[in-house]
Amino acid sequence: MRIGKQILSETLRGVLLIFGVSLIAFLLITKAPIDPLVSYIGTNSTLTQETKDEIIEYWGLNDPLPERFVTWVNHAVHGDLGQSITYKRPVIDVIRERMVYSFVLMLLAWVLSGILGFLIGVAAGMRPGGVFDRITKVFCLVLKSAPTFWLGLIFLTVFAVQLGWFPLGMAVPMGKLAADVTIWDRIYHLILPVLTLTVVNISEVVLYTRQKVTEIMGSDFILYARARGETRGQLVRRHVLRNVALPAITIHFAAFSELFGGMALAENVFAYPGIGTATTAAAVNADVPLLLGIALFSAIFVFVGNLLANILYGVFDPRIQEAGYERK
Amino acid sequence: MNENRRSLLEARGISRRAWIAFVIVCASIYLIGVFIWGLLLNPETYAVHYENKFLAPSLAHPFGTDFMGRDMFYRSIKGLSTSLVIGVLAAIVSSFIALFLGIVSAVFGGWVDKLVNLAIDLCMGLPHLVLLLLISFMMGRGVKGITIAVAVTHWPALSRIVRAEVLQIRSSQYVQTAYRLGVSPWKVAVTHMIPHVLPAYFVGLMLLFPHAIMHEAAVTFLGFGLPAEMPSIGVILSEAMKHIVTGKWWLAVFPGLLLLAALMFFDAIGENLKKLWNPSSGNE
Amino acid sequence: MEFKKVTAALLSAAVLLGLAGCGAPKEQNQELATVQQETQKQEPEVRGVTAYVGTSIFEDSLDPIKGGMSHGFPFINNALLRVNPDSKYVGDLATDWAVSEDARTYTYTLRQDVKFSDGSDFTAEDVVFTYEQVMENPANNENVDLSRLESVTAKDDYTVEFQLKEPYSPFLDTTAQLQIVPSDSYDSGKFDTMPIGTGAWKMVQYDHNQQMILAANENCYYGVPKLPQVTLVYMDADAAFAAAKSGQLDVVMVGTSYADEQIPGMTLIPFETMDVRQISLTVQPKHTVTTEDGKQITVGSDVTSDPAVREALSIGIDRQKIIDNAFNGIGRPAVNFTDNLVWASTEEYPDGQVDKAKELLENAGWVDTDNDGIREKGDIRCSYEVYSAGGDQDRYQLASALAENAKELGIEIIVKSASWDEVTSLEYSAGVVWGWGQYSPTVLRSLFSEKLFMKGMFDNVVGYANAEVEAQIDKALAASSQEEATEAWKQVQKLADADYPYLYLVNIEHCYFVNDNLDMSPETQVPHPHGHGTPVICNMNDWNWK
Repeated sequence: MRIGKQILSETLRGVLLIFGVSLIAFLLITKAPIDPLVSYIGTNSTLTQETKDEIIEYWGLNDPLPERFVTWVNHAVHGDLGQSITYKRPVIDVIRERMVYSFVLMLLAWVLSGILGFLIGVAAGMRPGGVFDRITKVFCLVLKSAPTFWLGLIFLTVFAVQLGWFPLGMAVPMGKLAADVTIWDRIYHLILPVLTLTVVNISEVVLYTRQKVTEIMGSDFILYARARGETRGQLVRRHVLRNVALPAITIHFAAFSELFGGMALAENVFAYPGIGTATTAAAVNADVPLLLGIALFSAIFVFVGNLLANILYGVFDPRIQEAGYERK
Repeated sequence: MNENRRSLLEARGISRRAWIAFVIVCASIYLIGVFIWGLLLNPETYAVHYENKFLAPSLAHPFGTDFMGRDMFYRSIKGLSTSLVIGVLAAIVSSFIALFLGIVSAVFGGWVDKLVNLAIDLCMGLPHLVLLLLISFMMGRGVKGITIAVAVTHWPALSRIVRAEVLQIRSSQYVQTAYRLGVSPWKVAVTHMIPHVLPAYFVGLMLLFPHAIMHEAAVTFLGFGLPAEMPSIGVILSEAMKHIVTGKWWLAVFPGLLLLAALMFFDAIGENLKKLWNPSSGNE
Repeated sequence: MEFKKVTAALLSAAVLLGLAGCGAPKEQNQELATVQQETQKQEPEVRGVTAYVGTSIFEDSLDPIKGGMSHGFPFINNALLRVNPDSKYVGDLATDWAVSEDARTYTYTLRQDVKFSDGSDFTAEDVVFTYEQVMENPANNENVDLSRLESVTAKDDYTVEFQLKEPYSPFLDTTAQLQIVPSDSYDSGKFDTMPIGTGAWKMVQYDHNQQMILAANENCYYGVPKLPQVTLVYMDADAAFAAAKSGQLDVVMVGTSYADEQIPGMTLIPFETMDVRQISLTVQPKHTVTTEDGKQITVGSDVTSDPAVREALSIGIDRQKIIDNAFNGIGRPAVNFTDNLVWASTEEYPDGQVDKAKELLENAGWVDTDNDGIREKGDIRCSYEVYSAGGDQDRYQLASALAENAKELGIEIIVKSASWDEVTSLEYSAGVVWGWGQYSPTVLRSLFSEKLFMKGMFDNVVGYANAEVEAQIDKALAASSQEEATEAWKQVQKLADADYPYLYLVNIEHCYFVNDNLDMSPETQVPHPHGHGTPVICNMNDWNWK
């Protein structure tokens, strides 16, 4: 029951938060030095005056700001985010179509960096100061500072240009009818962006896991367990994994915001047709409806990440304490 | 921490401090060096020389040259210097916001605290990059847009740290006594809290620099930050992207390494200062 | 082991999602395969062509009613007239045309053997329908101006008569721009991406911002294209180059900075264009103007408002050197509009006259008093900002090369980059690198007419005002014959160019790496109008494997 209640209150908070974030996004965009009508139809519009008037009327572009916001929320709640200037289609369609691409990219990178990072972290943390630990640490410190887009460029240079192993961009081979595109085509085009995003996101998981494992291995109850004659493997399974995995997953969920930023940069480097490239295209073309839509979408995305983190934290917290380890 | 590890650390105590100091000094020399060198650099050193288009790295041009025959070594130094100026400026502004909000929310508590927390939640409710783009868009892009965007979005994490530090000291005996003696909250904040918070603030500020610089470079790389005529690492790398396919790898590799080194050095200074002032914090 | 369960669940979710995004069930693939096998049995399969011709073709509607493909290289629909490789108008859907004595009635005789790709017949009714659609929704189409058209009537099935409100000589250009849509099956929503036309190609698949796949139209009246399929792809220019390098593209448009590169099995072909790059030199002294909606805009420059500075720049710079530096030597120096246009000025002057330029500047009071290499006049520095808009690297390089060259004259050019929406407020006080190139001489009106100053977005940004020029423009527009109009348009240029309001630099060439086995039939290519590399598709129906 406690959990249910928590989820409910978190969701409620989330709805308010998303409302607040959209308000801020809305204010930021409407305060931009650009004509409200132009921001909805673009500079090269070929619409008739009647249609323009209809758009002004529909989105309340001549109303005071609070009313405009209410109008926008009203339409947004009904799934109408307007027409994208860049793609000349409804924003909701653009986001829906590109979301699939970005989701696959982010999910793969997120899962891969989580699993690999955790395993490396445990391996390094079991023998602090060992060769593997030192190498891992150096790598992570470098990766922590490495800009996503630069890493992407380097991967592109090495693997796509110099070695020619992977394609340079897009999500599917060009000139192929949609019906002929196979899953291998898609995976082939995904490898480099996923690799970049995985590498960028891995260092935090590794460093966190490593530190927690080190702490636990040095704690008193491990000493007792050792005294009881448990082997190293048993120690890892019974105590370490249980106590470290969930907090690690929790912080990994909380990193959704960073993941989104990394995705946007990686997509731009690899010309991958997802939300990230749409974000920059929207900003370049002053495509206000799309920009607002993406802001809303990304806020929901971050919120879901935090919500999952909080739920996991709440669900598993008691047992973590029972096992004799207290999270700071 | 078990017995033998502790003694090991104690035995290495002095040399460890010396090592930390060494790292900090080296990192500072690099950062300040690049910063000043870039500021004073004669534009002629990275001027256009069409006869030198796309030269691979050599002794004369350690980083090679670009599509207009500009020397990439000097251009990168100038670019990194520009990035440092904007990043450091923005990070300092952000850190002041964090200091102010952190202290205010801890000292006054109640609805002020709630309000600050709400502001933090709102600021962190959007992916950082999206928020940067929106603010830069609102400010009309360009130098002004990117600087303000970076300056007003990097405070939430630090303000939480400041708030926690202040809460800790607020409950301490001497602050409570000061309150009871009728000293005004503002005076308490200035005389007792700020000095206490300073180390954590300073470390936080150091760790803000790499974030601010990286975000400036990222947004510039995407085309909303600094304009093309202003040498900066973001501009250099986005230009490099156009020539990577033709095998001009040096355009991307070296300027990126220069930036990476700067970010790592800031990180190293921050982490080592943390260890120096708070040895038990480990490397969290 | 909760951890394992969680990861397993996440992993399978990832795989499922991945699969879900991939469509294409197996059966369908097999079906397609068998179809392909069958066609193979009937005739030896000819490979299609995959081409990258820039991205601008993806950015606008393809619907002729909304101005789609109206710049002279349509491939799905046809207009009444078309341009031939000599830049002259010849009949396309019309076989013949006549203009009345008073220049207000245009009569077109139509071809009788034409079918739309959906099988319906092309008749005068379709022409009337198309023109009336545009007349009813003029704001939908900024490329075709029918405001002077009074009425369009079908005299019989194959004769159309246009009545103009007043004589308007560029109407002939209009009939080469506006392509005809079928009156029966026109669908405003669908035609943006999947228009139905009479041309050599029909759209098979249109993936937004990814690709358009075109198939040969067997009903085409001027012969079925030799290639069965052409795919035009959308990507970044650098990715396109790499794709060509890995053998995935048969034609790839490249910027001139790639012209030195080698691609095995491909050859670089530069195509002639009528596309000119020029920099606007504002002729008004610096002052502030308040626009109708109350905005304060800075207009003019105290440097370029001096005719001596404009003339010194125009005659003093070395255009060939600028082209060598900026464009790897590709393109021809230009001092006015190109010689491959019927109406273009043929008055040329030599450049690189450094001494004469310096003398001009000194006589006008521009002297380098502080020995920094840049001249001054009083406290005004001989310095002018030039913007390269929209992240176009070629234009940025051109401006940079010009800046290097202008230094020798003691004139400082500060190159800046900005987005197009920023440029719309900067263009009145600073220079902008412009690209103009079209068949219709109305561009001259855009460049020089005082009436358009601060009216259109990009018209007459230099603030040029000259009553004589204005009179010649009016004369050209009202001319009753093309010859008379051409004469007046030449006068417009002769008069206006003497004031050097624009610094013409280069008549560019569009560069493509082309598969060595592909014959792009250069002899049937028209001189490319402005179109960011897309116009090469103008003769796609003549492309063939060698």
